Amino acid sequence: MRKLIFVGLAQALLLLGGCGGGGSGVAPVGSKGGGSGTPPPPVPASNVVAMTVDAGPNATSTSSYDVDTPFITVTVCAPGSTTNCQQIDHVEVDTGSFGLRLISSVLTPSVASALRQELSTTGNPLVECTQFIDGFSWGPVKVADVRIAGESASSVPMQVIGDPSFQNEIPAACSGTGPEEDTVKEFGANGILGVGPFGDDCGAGCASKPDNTFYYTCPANGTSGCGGIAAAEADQVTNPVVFFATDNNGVIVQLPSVPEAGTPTTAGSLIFGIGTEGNNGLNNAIVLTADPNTGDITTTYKNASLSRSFFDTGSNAFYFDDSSIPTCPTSGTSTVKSSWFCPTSTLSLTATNTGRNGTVSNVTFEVANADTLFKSSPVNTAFDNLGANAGNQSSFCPNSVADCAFDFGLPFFFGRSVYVAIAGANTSGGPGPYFAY
Amino acid sequence: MKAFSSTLPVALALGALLLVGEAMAPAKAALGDRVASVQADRASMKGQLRTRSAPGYSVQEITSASGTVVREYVSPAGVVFAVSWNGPAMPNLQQTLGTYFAQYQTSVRSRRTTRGLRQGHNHVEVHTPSLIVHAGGHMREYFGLAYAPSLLPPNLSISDLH
Repeated sequence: MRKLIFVGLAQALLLLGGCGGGGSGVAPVGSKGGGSGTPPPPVPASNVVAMTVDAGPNATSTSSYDVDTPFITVTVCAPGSTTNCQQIDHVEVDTGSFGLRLISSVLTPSVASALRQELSTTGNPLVECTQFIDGFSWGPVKVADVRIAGESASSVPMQVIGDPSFQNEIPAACSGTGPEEDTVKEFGANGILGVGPFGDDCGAGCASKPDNTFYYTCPANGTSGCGGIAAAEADQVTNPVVFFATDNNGVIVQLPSVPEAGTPTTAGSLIFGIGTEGNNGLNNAIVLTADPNTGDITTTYKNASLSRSFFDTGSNAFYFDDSSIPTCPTSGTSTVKSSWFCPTSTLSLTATNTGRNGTVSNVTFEVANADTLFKSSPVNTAFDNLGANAGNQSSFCPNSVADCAFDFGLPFFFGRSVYVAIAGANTSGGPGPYFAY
Repeated sequence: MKAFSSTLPVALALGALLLVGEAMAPAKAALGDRVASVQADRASMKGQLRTRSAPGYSVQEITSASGTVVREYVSPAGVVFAVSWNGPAMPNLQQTLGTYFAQYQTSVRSRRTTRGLRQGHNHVEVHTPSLIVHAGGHMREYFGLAYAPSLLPPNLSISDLH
């Protein structure tokens, strides 16, 4: 029931977008520079799914609202079935990870029991310790059919997070990587769809090294006995987009501009394919090819050239190192010290992005006082001007400041169409991996 | 990039002596521990260890089997006051943060459920009086720094580390 309501809401928002292009009378944030301008309102099409930035599935009060987190609805089916299916709302869209993961507790018993368990080379179930920066998600790799908008993918390796059959045997090497996030409450979403610039989640390293720390072979219903194991790339959790019939070379993340003070919710689109349909051409977007191993580009910010930079809808702010901008003493309703930036007045900043192909793009972005934003509009969840201090990076970049990162989180994506081309795929803008906007 | 020194600083030599003394019962590695624990880390990460020195501190660099590099920054007194990492997987933070791991988990968990603190899956900032952590990246690339401000050697700023 809740899921049906959500779909209705998403459609209503689609219609609103079509009428007003963002609604509010507050002036939009100024020049984004180098971009493709404010994207057109979402138009229903078979390769377009409504993407919503809202308070998230855990929003019981404004104090627990998600901020700058985009969601879509995904349909998952038993392999080969068109009837044993389930629509799942509030699946986070993440260009910083690869593949589909769903929280076990949101699956119906009928669907959960019909997903096919992948086996490791030992014959035992293949289980993954997915490592996010803020914690780990543990669960088996299963095979499902996946439908999003009018697109469908068969036999997709995906992860069921927090499956009770494997929860009593989490290896210490996995639980040592951070706090567990195996429930909707801990995870902040009903699942996550990783649509970054690689198809499978770990790549060649996990295919060759048993001690990769991601993939394990585990006895079902065991209490111990999981062992690290190599997993061929074909067996690794993989972005379902790769399995679509034609729109399979990447995605476009498209969000409207939002007012300076933010907005309670906003609707955009996740569009499948690049240059494969009438609605997904590159137009005048600038193609920045990415590092073939990491998917990174180079960002020059205040004279520092940061070669590990990236565009990430899974980060909810611009995260970068700038000790000249004050951070907030506390944040929102919390008394915990914050890393959000709290400039006395909104800053307009510039950065230069350079692809591995040498293509250069200048971008302008704003960083507002996060404390003011959170306190003055407690129901707002979508902001294009949130920034946070990522710490003095010269201390942990591998060799020099050149190995540091500028993380363009979701605020970057408002008012833009950002193209993410998958490594190895051919597109109208050349082969992936690349970002374009 | 700093050159790797061929001469061990005095602190490290002391650490090596300590290691001999503790070889039968090596401490778990970690932030706040004495340098001898580095060998325990290296063994459990199935990794390779190399050492270099810099003005005011030394660095034990361990490359784990997953390919992730963990650096343990050691004060002249032989105490690990900071750790940093980068590579294709997260390090075992329980091991590298040691007694600080519990407060790391508590801090990250509390932020998940609080508007205005929640930072998504791909970034962590922990700022407590006793522990600072900056961690970022994305799948296939993880990096971060953790340190205990109270353990920083005098006259050394965290921005001096490399």
